Amino acid sequence: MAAPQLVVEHVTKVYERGDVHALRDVSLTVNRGEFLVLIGLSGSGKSTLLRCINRLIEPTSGRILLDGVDVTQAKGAELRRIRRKIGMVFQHFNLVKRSSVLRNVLAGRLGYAPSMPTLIGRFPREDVERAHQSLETVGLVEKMYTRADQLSGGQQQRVGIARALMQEPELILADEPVSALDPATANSILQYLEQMNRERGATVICALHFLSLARRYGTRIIALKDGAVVFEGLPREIDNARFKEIYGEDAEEVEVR
Amino acid sequence: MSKNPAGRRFRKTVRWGAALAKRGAARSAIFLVDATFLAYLFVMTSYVVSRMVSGVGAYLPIRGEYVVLGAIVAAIAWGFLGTSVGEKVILFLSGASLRKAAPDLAGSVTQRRRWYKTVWGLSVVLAAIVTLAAATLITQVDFSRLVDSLADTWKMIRRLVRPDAEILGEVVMLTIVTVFMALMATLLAIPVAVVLSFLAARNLARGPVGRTAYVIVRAAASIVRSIEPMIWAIVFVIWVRMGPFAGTLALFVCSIADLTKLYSEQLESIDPGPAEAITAVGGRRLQVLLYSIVPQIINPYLSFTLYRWDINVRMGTVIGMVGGGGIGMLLMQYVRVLAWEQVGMCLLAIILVVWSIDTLSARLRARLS
Repeated sequence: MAAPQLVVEHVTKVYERGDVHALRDVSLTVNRGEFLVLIGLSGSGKSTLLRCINRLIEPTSGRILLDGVDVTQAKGAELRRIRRKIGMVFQHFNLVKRSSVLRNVLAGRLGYAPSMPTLIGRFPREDVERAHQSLETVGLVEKMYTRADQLSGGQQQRVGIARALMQEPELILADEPVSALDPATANSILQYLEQMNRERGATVICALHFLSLARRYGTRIIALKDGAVVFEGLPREIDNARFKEIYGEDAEEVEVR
Repeated sequence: MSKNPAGRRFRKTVRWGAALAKRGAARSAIFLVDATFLAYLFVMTSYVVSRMVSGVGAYLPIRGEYVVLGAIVAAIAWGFLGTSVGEKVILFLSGASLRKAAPDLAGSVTQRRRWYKTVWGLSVVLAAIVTLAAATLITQVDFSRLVDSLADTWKMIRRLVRPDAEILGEVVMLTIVTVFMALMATLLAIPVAVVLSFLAARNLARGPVGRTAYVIVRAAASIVRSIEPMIWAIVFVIWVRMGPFAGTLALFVCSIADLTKLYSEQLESIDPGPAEAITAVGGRRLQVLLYSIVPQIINPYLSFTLYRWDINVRMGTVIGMVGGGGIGMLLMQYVRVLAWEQVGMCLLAIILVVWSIDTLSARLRARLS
């Protein structure tokens, strides 16, 4: 078996204020091509874990290796090189609302494009081509020049996915990408992620709230509780007892189709 | 969360200690408010009485030390005489947090009685009456004087509404000077304020250096803003002599402080999401700035700048009166020689220019938002 793509070793994150332990000694490995789903209650550390992987948040201790390279030690240009091959999709899309769809998508290329021209808003021709293709993939070509805030939630998230596509990502981090969307739209967004996973070979780590979606899309599930890994296994292994362990005694499973 | 029982006990002790400290602080604050209130009541009452009786406005019939001493004693005594004004004020200001820390303090206030049956209620009404009486005496309010000189004033008004068209050329020239003073001051202030606003935004102030810069810039802006443009104009008239440059400098200084505050508040309210996204795709800091922060602030910044230019035109007319150049300076010259037809002309120009720039800027700002 090949070496794992991502190795997280004993990662702990303590927020200075109020000494909150967001992550407690989290260790996990992710192989190339997996669709790993993170589940757990709000505040269980899913977002923090995802953000430690691309260092939007500094872990307090521990190591994270991506393709054998220590992400936690990377600085400056090296860190940017690591980040540019990790796509990220956010719960609230994180688009620049006043900018056009095209400009938002092109921004996904900032890690690759020569930086001086980008400062006056210029991108190489092939990047603009690529932006067209990305928007075609998510079916939003005709909205190219529309302002991002004119789009519906689902469309905005598709722009977010097109932006991530621009990075030709080897790994995609999705932080509750469908929590702000209605169930039908949620499914279509996750299908785009699945498509990137299957057709482009991008590994996906996706935090989700609904277990039904986790079961449907995940090839493996990791559950966090109070910042620690409490379950790791296949989707079908989560039975009622396990569910209560992760979400607490009072929890009831809600179906989302 | 903590599994350490000793730690929990410690925290509990700290919380209890904090409650005690809060109680103490609240008691002292109540005492201070009461003492100040009583001293104020005594001084104002004695002033009003002495004015009424002897016509001489003596604030203190007895030595100041005795007033202070008396107020302290009375404030202590008030602690035993039902609810005091201080208790009302402090509980109102501190709200729920103190009510939790010192329920007995809050309890004495919550019992409801008609205001004229409570000591504090009567004291507040007494203080209000005395304040009104004292304020009338101090400001020498005398409405009869409005009527006395009505005839002269009417003559002045009649001359004012017949503006002298002879000086039209001069007035137009100097109005242009005022508008350009405002424009120049605004333009010069923009780059300075943009840079300072990034230092004065709480959410962007990182690390000890950033925090220090934040505090310094914020404090400096507050100090500058608390001094009126008129006073800045006097300073610069002395510094660079009378004329439009002095006025421009005064407006420039005030614009920097004002725009820094407005800009930085805008920066504090931006959505951090896009910046996070641009960082995540591997963008440099400058790219993060240009691709996520600038698009969010550009329109509000333009809008604030237009607004400030509009204010500067209005301020510019006033600043001229103390030697800051432009139409205000001309106005003041005619006022000094009581040339009311000419004053009327200047006022007409000021009204027209201020009104049109106000309208223009409001239209443009509406389009920007």
